[in-house]
Amino acid sequence: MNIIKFILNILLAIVFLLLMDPRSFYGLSFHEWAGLIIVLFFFLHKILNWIWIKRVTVGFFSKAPGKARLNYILDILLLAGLTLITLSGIAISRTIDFSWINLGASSMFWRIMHTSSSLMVLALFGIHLGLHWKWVLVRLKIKKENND
Amino acid sequence: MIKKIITIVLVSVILVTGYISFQKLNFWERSVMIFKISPSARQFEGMRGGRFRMEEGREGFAARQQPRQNTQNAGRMNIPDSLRGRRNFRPQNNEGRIRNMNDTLRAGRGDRRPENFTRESAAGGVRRMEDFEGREGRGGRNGRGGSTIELRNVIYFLGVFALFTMITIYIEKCYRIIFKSKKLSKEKSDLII
Repeated sequence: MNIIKFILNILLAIVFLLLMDPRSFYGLSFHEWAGLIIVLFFFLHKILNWIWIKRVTVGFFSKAPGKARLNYILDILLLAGLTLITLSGIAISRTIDFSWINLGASSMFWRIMHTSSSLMVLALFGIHLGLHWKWVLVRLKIKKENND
Repeated sequence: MIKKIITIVLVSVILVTGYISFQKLNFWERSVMIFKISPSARQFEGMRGGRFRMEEGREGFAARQQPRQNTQNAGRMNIPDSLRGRRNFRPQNNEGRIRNMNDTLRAGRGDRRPENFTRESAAGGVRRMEDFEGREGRGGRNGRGGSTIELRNVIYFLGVFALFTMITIYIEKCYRIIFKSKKLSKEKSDLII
């Protein structure tokens, strides 16, 4: 299971970086489709870690350790950021027809929202990876697993 | 020892690359841009040109063009008739110049008279995908690239991503060291008492 998680996480990181510039990798069409698909994979990432989510949610105000709480808050921020990216992406999409979804506000607003939220989410992802760095080292067999 | 040196070099490279990428992408300004705009805004105050600054929409572009046209018209109203006449005469001179060009130059330049601009695809500010079919390259301001891969910007983003990861790892390490030393000193003081 851990190997599947690890591969999924690496793929998510690579695709997310490729999505950061719509012009860099096969243009806007790839950007929009891959952006939609990656959202599903983020949900898969959450489903694979569902036990942890459940445990921390239940014990957030009582027995959860400080680091787990920090990770939990970060995850909520990431979820909010990803939701904003998706919504703004839908509002400004050009290759996929989302004209039937009327989100209101000006195109300019959604465009700025898309840029700003994606940059913030990139920074949050960096922090998320930093907080899980030990797990990465264990998976890469650089460090032995311990329970601290 | 060698391991430590390699780690220090790697960390320094990541920090420097991350900082350069951060500056190049104008990361901070673009991140907080959303707090400076209202949902109904059609033009953003802090918006500037440039590829990394802002990908403005057609509305923003039109709004920015308008004040420039107004200032041009105002300037024209104040000039004397003789000069205005000369200004009006200029296009014909230009036409004459084009007529005197050889064929290769004329083909390269293209006929730029406004009546020859047929921008059906831009009508109403909406473009159809058929307008871009068969086009190679990066797709201009809309960012519709063809089948191109140019990962330079992705490397900048990777640099920033690595920077944040690195900072978090070392903050956590520092926190652990401080926390551990505090815990140890508390244990020691407990023993003294």
